[in-house]
Parts: sequence; C-alpha cells; structure tokens
Amino acid sequence: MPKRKLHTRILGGLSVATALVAISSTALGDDRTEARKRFKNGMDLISRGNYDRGIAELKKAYEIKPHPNVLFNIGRAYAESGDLENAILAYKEYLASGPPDADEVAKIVAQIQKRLDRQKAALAAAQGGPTGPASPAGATGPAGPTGPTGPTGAGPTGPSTPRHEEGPDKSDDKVAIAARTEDVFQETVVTASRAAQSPIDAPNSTSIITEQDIRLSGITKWQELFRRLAGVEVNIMTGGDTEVSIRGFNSRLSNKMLVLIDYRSVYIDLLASTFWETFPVDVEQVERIEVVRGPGSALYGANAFAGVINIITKKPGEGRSGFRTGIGTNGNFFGSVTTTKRDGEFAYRASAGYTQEPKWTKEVGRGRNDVVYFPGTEKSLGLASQNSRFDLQVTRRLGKETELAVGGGYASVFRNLQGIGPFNEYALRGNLLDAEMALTSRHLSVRSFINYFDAMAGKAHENAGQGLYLSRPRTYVFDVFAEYTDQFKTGASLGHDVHVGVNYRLKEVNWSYLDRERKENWIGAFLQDTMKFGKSVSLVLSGRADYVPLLRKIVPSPRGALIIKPTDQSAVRFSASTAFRTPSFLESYLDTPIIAPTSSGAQLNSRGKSSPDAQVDLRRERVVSLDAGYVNQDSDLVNFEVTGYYLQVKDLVGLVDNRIVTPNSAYGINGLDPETGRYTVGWGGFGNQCATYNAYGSELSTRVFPTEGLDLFANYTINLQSVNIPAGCPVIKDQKTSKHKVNAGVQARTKPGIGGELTFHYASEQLWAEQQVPTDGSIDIQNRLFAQPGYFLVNGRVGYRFDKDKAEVSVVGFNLLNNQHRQHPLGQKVGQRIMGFVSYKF
Amino acid sequence: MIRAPLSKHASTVVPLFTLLAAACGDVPVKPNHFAEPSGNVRGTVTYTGPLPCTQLGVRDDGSPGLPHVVGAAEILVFKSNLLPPPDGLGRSARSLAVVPGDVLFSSVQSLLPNPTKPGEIACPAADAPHVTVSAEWVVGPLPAGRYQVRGFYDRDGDFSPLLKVHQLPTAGDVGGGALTNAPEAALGAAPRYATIIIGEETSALDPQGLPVLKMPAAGALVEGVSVTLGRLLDTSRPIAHVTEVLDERVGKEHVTDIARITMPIDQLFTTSPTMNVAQADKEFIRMTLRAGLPEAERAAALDPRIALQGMPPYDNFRLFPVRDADGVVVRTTPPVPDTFPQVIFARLDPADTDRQTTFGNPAVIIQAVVSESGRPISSNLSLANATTQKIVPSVQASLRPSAICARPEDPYGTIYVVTPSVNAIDKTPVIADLDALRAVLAKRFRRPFTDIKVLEGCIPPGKYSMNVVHDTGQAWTLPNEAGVCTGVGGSLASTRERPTPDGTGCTLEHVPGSRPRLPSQDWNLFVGGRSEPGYCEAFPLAIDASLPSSKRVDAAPEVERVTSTGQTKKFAAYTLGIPSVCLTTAELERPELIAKRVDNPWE
Repeated sequence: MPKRKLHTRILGGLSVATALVAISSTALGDDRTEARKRFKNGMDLISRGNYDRGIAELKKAYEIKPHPNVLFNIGRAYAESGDLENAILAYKEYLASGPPDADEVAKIVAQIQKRLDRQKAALAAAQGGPTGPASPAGATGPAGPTGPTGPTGAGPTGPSTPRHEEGPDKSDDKVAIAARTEDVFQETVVTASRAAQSPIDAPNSTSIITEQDIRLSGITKWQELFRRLAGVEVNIMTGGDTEVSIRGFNSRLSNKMLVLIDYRSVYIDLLASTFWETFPVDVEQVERIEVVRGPGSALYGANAFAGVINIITKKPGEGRSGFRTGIGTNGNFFGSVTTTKRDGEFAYRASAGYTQEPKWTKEVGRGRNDVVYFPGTEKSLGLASQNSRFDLQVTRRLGKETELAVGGGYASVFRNLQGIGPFNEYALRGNLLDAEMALTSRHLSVRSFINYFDAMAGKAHENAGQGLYLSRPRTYVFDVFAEYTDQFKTGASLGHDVHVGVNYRLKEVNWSYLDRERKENWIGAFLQDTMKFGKSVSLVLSGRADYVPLLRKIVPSPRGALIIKPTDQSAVRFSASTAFRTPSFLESYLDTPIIAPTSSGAQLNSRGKSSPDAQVDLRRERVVSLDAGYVNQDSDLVNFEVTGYYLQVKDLVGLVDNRIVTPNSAYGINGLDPETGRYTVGWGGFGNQCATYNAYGSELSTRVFPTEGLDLFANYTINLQSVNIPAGCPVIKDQKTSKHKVNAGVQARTKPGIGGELTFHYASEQLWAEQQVPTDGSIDIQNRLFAQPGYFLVNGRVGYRFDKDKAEVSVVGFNLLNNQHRQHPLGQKVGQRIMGFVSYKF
Repeated sequence: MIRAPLSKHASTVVPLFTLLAAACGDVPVKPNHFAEPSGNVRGTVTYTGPLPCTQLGVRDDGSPGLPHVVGAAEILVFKSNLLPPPDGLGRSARSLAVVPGDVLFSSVQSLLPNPTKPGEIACPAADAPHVTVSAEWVVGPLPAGRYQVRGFYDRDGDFSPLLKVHQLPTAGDVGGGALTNAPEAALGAAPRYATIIIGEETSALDPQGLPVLKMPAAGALVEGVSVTLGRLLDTSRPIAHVTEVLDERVGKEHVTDIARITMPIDQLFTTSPTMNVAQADKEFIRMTLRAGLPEAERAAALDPRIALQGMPPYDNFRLFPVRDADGVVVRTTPPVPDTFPQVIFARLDPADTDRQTTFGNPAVIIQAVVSESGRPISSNLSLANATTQKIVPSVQASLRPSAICARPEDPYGTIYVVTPSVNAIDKTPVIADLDALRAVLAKRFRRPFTDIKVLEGCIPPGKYSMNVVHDTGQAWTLPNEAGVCTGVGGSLASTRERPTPDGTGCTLEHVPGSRPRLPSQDWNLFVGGRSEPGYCEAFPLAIDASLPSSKRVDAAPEVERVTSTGQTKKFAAYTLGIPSVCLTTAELERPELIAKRVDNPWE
C-alpha cells in the first residue's frame, strides 16, 4: 500500500473517530454502566426518602436496560411514598415478566389493592360517597404507606414511617416488601465457576461480550466479536473459516478452546475444532458471551485447554421479538427472526435465520481444465459459508426454584475452511441437529444434550490427478451432566459454596478418513469449593477427573485460586491450574492414504492408532498455568484489569514429518496398495511434539466512561514464547501467535438515536510452520516456515434508531481502510467488506 | 407495523441499499501457489505381452482373500531436459501414474491363472498366448514444459518408486512409453519418445531455440496420450559390487581397502592417458566391479524385506560402445570410446547420513572410464567397431579426475567440466581438444555448445555414490537400501533403521526382527586429501588468452546465491581452489565445511 494512501486512510479513520466522539457529547453511554449508575443513584435517593427523584432515576435505568427487579423497586418506592395506584401498576408490570416470585408479589399487589380500596372507602365515607373497590388507574387522592419495609422491619432502604397517614393498620394487612437492592446491572458471569458471580470474583480472568457490544458493533460473525478482547487471537483463514485462540498456541483449526452454547459443548471432536458457522443460533439471540482466559479443565474436562467461551442466549420469554436483516459486499447476507414470549409458567423462544458469507478471494476460478471441484460448487466458487437455521427453546417453571428447559436446533450448512496440513481448502455441506434438556433447581441441576452432525466433506478443489478425498463424516454426541450445589458455613465465618458434578458423554464417529467406526464412553466428575474467609478473601479449589477412552486413563485437572478483594469492586487474583486436550478422532484414528502431491501414483499412508508405529500412540496435550491479575471497577469512570500469566505446554500434537518407507517398513511387495492402486512411499499422521513451550504474557485492559454516551476501551496483549527443543527433536521453532496485540475502540449512543462503534486492531507478525506441498517436484509433504506480517484493521458501524427504538438501520464496515492483508500465511487475502442492516424489535 | 417507520425513513434506507447493491460484486480469483494453474495428462496405456501372474490375497486370519493381478503399469513422466541416465542428468521422474494390474487386465480376467492357496502366486504357462489390453490413466499436476512419458509393466511386482533397489524395471518387465515409433520399438528398434507439451507456446524463444511455454490461466489438459508397453526387457538391472582396487600411479600411496577408495581433489596425470593410451591404466585409480551380489549375500537378498528375489542378483554386464543419436561412437576421452555400462559417480549430500541423496544443486558427477576387467583401457579401442555386445562378468572402472558440475533443474544453466589441470605433469595435454569435448558434452546433455565450459580447479570433496547404467536406462546405485540401514527423511527415531550389533541386519523400532543388510551394497567413493599441498590454493590461474579456444580453458565465474538469511550474495570464483559453481550455498557460506571434507572425507 503506498504510504501516502495509507496516511490518508488513517487520517480518514481518525476523522470518523473524532466525529463519533463529537457526537457523543450529547450521547448516552454504555447502557449497562449508565443503567447501573442510575439504579444505584435511584436506590440511594429512595433510601433517603427522596422518592420522586429516586423513582425517576429507576425509571431511566429501566428505560436504558429493562430488568424486572427495577420494576419491583419502582413499585416498592411508589408504595412507600403512598402512591398505591402507581405501585400496583409497577408491580403488575413486574408480574408480566413472569418472575419466579410471582405468587408472593401477587399477594403484595392484593394487599396494596385492599389498602387502596380501604383508603378509597374511607375517602368516600368522609365525602359521603359510595364504597367499594376502586381501579388504581382511576384512583385519586392520598395514598397510604405499604407498611414495614422489610421482613424484620429493618429494610435496607425504606423509611420506618409513612409519608402519608392513613387509618389504623390491621396486622393481617401487613406486607413485607424488601427492596431488591442487589446490583442487577452488575456484570455477572457463570462460566468460570459454574455459578453466577461478578467477574471480579471469578477465579479466571473473564471478559464479557455484552448485548450492547453486539448491537453497537453490528457484528454478526461470532469470531469477530472476540477480536476486541485482550489475550484472544482471531485469524481469518477463509471467508467461512475464522479461528479463535486464547493466549497463543494458534493452529489452523483452533483446537485448544472449548466453546459452549448455554453450557452445551459445540466442540467438534472429530477435528478438534469449533465450527462457528454451523451454530443453530445467531448473535440476535445472545444475552452475553463470556470469555474465560486460562485453563478450564478443572470444571469442563478435556479441551478447555486455553480458555472457555460460553455463549449465553436470552432465556425464553426475555428480550424482544423482532428481526434483523443485512446485505453486503460480494453477496454477504444475514437474516434473523426471533420470537419470544412468556405465558405464566411457560415461555418459549423460537428463532430462524440464514447467513451467507463470501470468500475473501477464490483460490481457483471456474472452468479450470486441470481442476475438479467439490460437488455443486463450481458455479458458486465465491461462497464461503451458508447457514440456514432454526432453534426452539421452551421453559416451564415447575416450582419456586425449579425449571425445566427443553430445546433443539437445526442447521443446514455449507462451509469452506482451511484444513490440516496439505488439505488447504476444504469444504463440507451437511446438517447439524441438537437437542437439549435442563432441569434446574436450587441445589440440583441435570443437563443433557445431543449433538448430531452429518455432512459430505472433501477438498474444495484439487488437481484432477489428485482427487478430492470426498467423504461423509458423521458424529453423534450424547451428554448428561448432573450437578449438586450448596452453600453453608463451617466454623464462625468460613463460607462454602460447593459444586459437585458428574458427567457422562457418549461419542460416536463414523468417517472414512478413520480406521473404523469409533464409539467412546467418557466419564468425568468434579468438585469445587469456594471458601470465603470473611468479606475480602476467597479461596477456590476445584478438581476434575476424566476417564479418557483414547488414553485409557483417568486424567486429573486441579485448579486453585486465591482472590483478595481490597474493595468491593476490586480484586487481586492468583490462580494455578492444569488442563489437557485429548487428541481428536482424526488425530487418533486417522487412516487415509494421501496422494503424493506431485505424483499421482504414490501415496503417504497417514495412520493414527492403527499405525504399526507405537510412537503414534498419542498422549494428551498438557498445560500448566500460573495466573495473577488485578481488576478494579471502583470508579464509575474507569475500569481496568491487568493480568500476567505463564503457561508451560507439553506434548503438543502436530503432523509428524513424513516417515519414509524403508525396506523394513515396505511390507512385502513394495507397498502397492491394492485398494488405491498407488505405491506407499511414506507414512504420515500425527504425533506428540518433543518440545516444551513456555509462554509468558500479560494483558492490560481498560474501559473508560468519560461522559454519558461515550464508552472507550483499549487493551494490549504481549505474548512471548520460548521453546525447549531437546537434541534430536525435529520441531521447527515458530511463532504462531502475535507477540503484540492492540485493540482500541469507541462506542457511542446519542439521544437522537444515532449510535455506533469504531474499533482499531493491530496484531504483530507471526511465523507459522506448516506441513505443505513442496513446489520443487519432490514427493515429500514438508514442514516449511511461512512468515505472516503484522496487520491492522479499522472496523466501524453507524446506526440510526427510530420509532421508539424499535426500528434501526445501520451500516457496518469491516476493514474500513481496505488494508489488504492475510491473517494466516496460507489464508485468503482479506479486504474491505460493508454491510447494511435493518432491524425491528417488537 | 414496520411499514410506517420504514416508509417514513425510506429516504435513509433506500440509498443505503442502493449503495450496497452497487458494492456487491464477485469475489476475485487470487490463487496462492498451491492452487496455481497446472497441467494434467490423460491417456490410455496399451499393453501387449504375456499374461501376468495372479496372487491370492491373505486375510488377517489367514483365510484366502481376493486374488490380485501381480504388478502394475508404471507410467513415468520426465521433463524432456531432465531425462534419466544415460540420456540426461535427471534423478527421478517428475510424476508417476499407476494402473494396477487388476484394472489393466480386467477385460481378460477369465484368462488369468487362478492361485488356490492364500498368498500363492500363479503364473501363466510359458507358451500362453500374449494379450493386448488397455486402460486409462491420468497424471498431474505438472508445470508448463515439455515432457516424455516412459513406462513399463512391472510383471514381477517388485517396483517401488522410493527404494533405489526397486525403482527401475527388471528382466521380464514390459517396457515402452508414449512413442512415435511404437510398432518398430515393439520389434526391437530404439524407442523414440514423443514430446508432450503442457502449456501455451509464447513468442519468446529459449536458449535452445524452442518457444517458451506458459501455463494458461485455466490450466492445461493434454488428452489422448497413448502409452504402448510391448518391449519385453530381457536384461536385469546392472547390480554390482566392488571387488578390487588397483592404483599403480607413480609415487602414490596405493589404496588396497575397497571400502576407502579415495581420489585426491587435485589428482594429476603424470602423462596424458589420451596421448599414451597404452600406458593409461597406470594413471588412474581403478576398481573392479563384479556383476551381481557376492555369493555370501545371495541367500539374504531373497529376504522379502529386501525383496531382491525378483531380479537375478548374479547377472553379467554387457559391454559395448556408447553411440549418439546419429550412431557415432562417443569418445569423452578420445580416442577411447565411452562404453556401456556407464559408471557415474555422483556427489552425495553430506547432510544425509544415510548417503542416499545426491546433490542436485549443483549436481557433481564424475564419469569413469569403463573397460573389461583384467584388460587394459586400450582394449576398449577394439570395441568401437564391434557389432555385438560383449558379455563380461566384471568391468574395470577407472576414475577420471574431473568432475562435471551442473544444475539439473536449470535447463539453460551452464555445465562446467572441472579438472585439476588440462595438462599432465609432463605437459602433455590430457584433453587434446577442448572444443571437441565441449561438443561431445553439448550433444550428450542437449545443451548449446556455448553452455559447456571447461575450468581448471580442484574436485569437490566428499562422498560420491556410484551408478552403473545400462543402455536400457536400467541402473544400479551404491550405496543403496540393501546395504545401508536407512531412515532418510524420517524425523522420528522409530522410523529410522538401526544396524544390528553384528552389522548383518537393520532393525526398525516397531517392526519385529531385523532385515538382512548386504555389506557389498554399502559402498561409496571418497574424494578428498591432496596430492600436492598448495596446489588447489593457487587457483585461479591466469588464462592464456592467446591460445585458441580448443586449447584454452574458461574462466570460472563468480557465483551469486541466495544465502540462508535470504540475502543475495556474490561469492568468489574459487573457494579453497574449488570452482564455486560446484559447491552448495551452505559450503560457500561456511568454507570450513569444505576444508573439513578435504582433510577427512571419510567422516
């Protein structure tokens, strides 16, 4: 890119940023923070008897970010202030949200109504008019207090005496209404400990992608949501394949991170990867996404190696129904429609969508004489992914704290991805089905899910002399998880929050790339105790044991974390943990002859478990992690977090160098495979690396709220790596993770309805060792080093909300400065992409 | 419900989508180097010859499996300028297509013999009628270029593209290729191979006057290439082992250990062997090559893991003069005719401890003068007019102290002949006519005359493999896998063969037992040591420009290479007296490596 042009573009980007900042001078800031501020202020005013201003603040908080508890508190404040009509209105609105304490609140409403009726009757008597029940809406005149402010009369907020006098109260009319003082706008995470807690209390560094982040960024591609986070690497491989890694150890198919949708694992055990493009839900159904950095095997078992991402969708009956659709460059399309409703104890959420993403570049065009194409793709070679999806979630309350949730999803998908080794462009078309059930109660919860995957897969294109390796992978996973939780105290002040869980998982795989159909029974159990030593110190001890059939052994995964809280909103965290990744089915049981790249008549026999080579008996990848961090959210103006970590990683699984046939391994008549009609000239497959990796890093994140309507964030990640390579160990030293990564952004919302986001991302250079086809005509598939220069991105969105915030139009730009670059040396060249959206929420 | 706000704000939405519609377009095609257009060749292979053998398969439980036709049609695609010896400097085929016997003979299944026991091989009767069968084949990807397709049907099923001991046809196989004279070749005429062009011809011409080829954006598919296999090979590969070394050079230490035959990098002739052919033998280090394997190794060679059972290991050599395409006897060392079998030594890659890989960039070869064992070199003179091939059990290979340095992959690169001196110590010319030598080599390597340069300099040190080459293209290489415990390319210890403690076998970690090792096949030539201290260091010598070109050597050029750090660097014409064009980039970067190899070539 010419320098001047680049400067011009950077200046252009800065201008947009400046404009956004300027707009934000009259803007509304981060909705969660702002709502939280209003809520705290309102509750404080109410506790001091300043009901009118307090209620106004609560109403503003509710307007920004609706939450039923705010309605409850508005109702309570009205009741305390004597405005019984409005109290009843607020409580009824609260009841309409279907809260679990509906019965109790209904009683309160009835009591207030009675009181109101009595007041009206008294008033009528005083005026000589008729008596009888009165409609709150039509009620006028003074209203009485709601009685004592708490169960013991020592409620945290309410005054002990009513503002308005009424007649003598009867004891059976007394209503115990406690204020809901919990910080409903406090960020809550559940993934790091399998229990709701503030990220400040979490034993791992945890980030949240909020609903606001999703809306203001306009991003519809899951992986791009994580680019803004410290410690998270996002690498675009193709238009249909973007890989996400945490704290390094990137790979072409990211295999060291566990992704969950509402606790349902979507990890594809077949390949050890996450197929983000195949999910049955989209970002429109998301409440928040939790990103836990650091090993998580202590709670989640295998493959929670470098981190856990948990996509929390909106509960049935929560959020709004509506649709969002967008169209963009090169046929990019996104459409999503959601309907959600609660009817008493029953609630549902149904969603359907269609997404179509183009490739960034085509590796081959149409009409090539030398190439064969994946079936049905020659006329649509620019297509990177397609996803037609449907999802239905239903909940039914079975009691005060017991709920049954049942759901399922279906996605019909096409996906173009970067495969492993010389399988550079790979395609799959197929169907995914999932079904899940959860029975949750106060102490016991049982969750179960089924994942089914059936596709046709093969190389996206290949020279006619080589073939496409077409196959039909099918996987079936059944998982059931039972967890018991309890909170109790031992001694005078040692609090315990105990979680005990057991887990069974059945995995069935059928794929012609493997030696045979495989079926595995996994069993795991975990125990976690969060011990609270007073208000400021917590010790979290977790441990999980998994029986891993492939390894034929039980793998323990301990974790310990010490959290010290100097203040309510700040914490110092030290944690030590281990995790493991079990080799995938492909890595373990591979049995596929790979045609020698430059010789149609020769093949490399890629073998896993069935190989005659005992060294192919893979071990698990192991990580030991030490983590220290400090998080501070004391200020309403600025939050920040600093973490430092050390990872020691051993036994990484990778493609081994070709093991060339020797007279000893040629097996009889020189390796002519009667099934393929090719000569076996070598052996390939996966093996554990002999090197030990040490990664050191630090993540610095801050979020600033300088003024209403403006939300700034920035983070910096440094990731350093050293490798111990013993003598004779053939590992090639590389650097698959950027040493430096910088993200910064500004989010703004304005009163006129204009809002948006502008973000900047920088990742420094990388160096990838990849096993690839040589270009010198030899038959070896060699490990070669590929340099990946650093790159930057500027992304942005601007939107306009109207019709009482129900409708919105927006334009989303990816790579606004059109910085042509690759994010992996073998990936497609990434350019600019623009999409326009329309949405409407009921 | 939604219509009202949308219509109200249509002025916002409509231009937005108009803008986006305009932005929509097709995804550009930008192939990376793994998806660049390439060429494929399709065709049919037609086999005319005896029926193949059939083997009954064996299941894991020992029960009979499916019968399979033994062998396959091997279709080898060579670049025209990288043909295998003796026609060129090529080391291996550019690509290989295989048509299994089961496919090729599927139309005559009823005629095939029927083995009855698991593992049994049944062969047709000797007088069984020959058959003609055909099948389709495809090979690719291939870059733009000119190619020849050669092939054979591996009737004994002992072919392997990777193992040196199995990668060429043996006696009983049926040879051929994509020929322009298929009918005549079937009757015994020398085969003439068709040139297959992949790519589009451009208006530019290469140094050989041929249009430069370019790969079209849509790739290339050449269809209808007919491969005819019909010539029954009656000769085995020239399996050989070294039995004796003779060194009668005046004043030199005579080498008697055949395992350490070493030629100094600065070996000079006392007197010109070409001027005095009768005395030539005393000027060379000579060795005796015996055809086949030593008696003691023949039983072990039948082990299926060496699998030399398909080729008789005790053949004779056929000695006869080399003729060029015009039928003229080739004389690289006039007046002595070059002969078959040719014996060519090729410098081995020192990084390959198994000594299985020869240098390709540059390739360094030393061609021996081959004559009948027990007879003087001058006896070759009588072969020049011989009309029959002389069958001999052994030959003498005399080490010519000169090397040819070339870049086989570069069709337009210069070929250098390097000799420590074009004159003997007594000033008699070793090469009487340099232009004549240039002309012979130009013809042999199919290069323009001007691309052949003769340099004075010392010979690159190190280990050299020996290649014994027949006129049929059948060849044998020492050292090979039968003699060396291999594992080249294998990074895992478990894939590297290790010698048994007594050295008679090789083991592999995951394979039970050991396979035999044939010591006679673990042999290589050493080039190293000096005859005269300081001789090499004197290079470069001034070139006498007053001499005519037929008497004048060329000036060694400076060398430009891309170094290990990725920078382009110029190196002096000589490094330790060796022309830099003969050395690898690693050696040029670290001359101490060369010095080490000169001082101790045996390590």
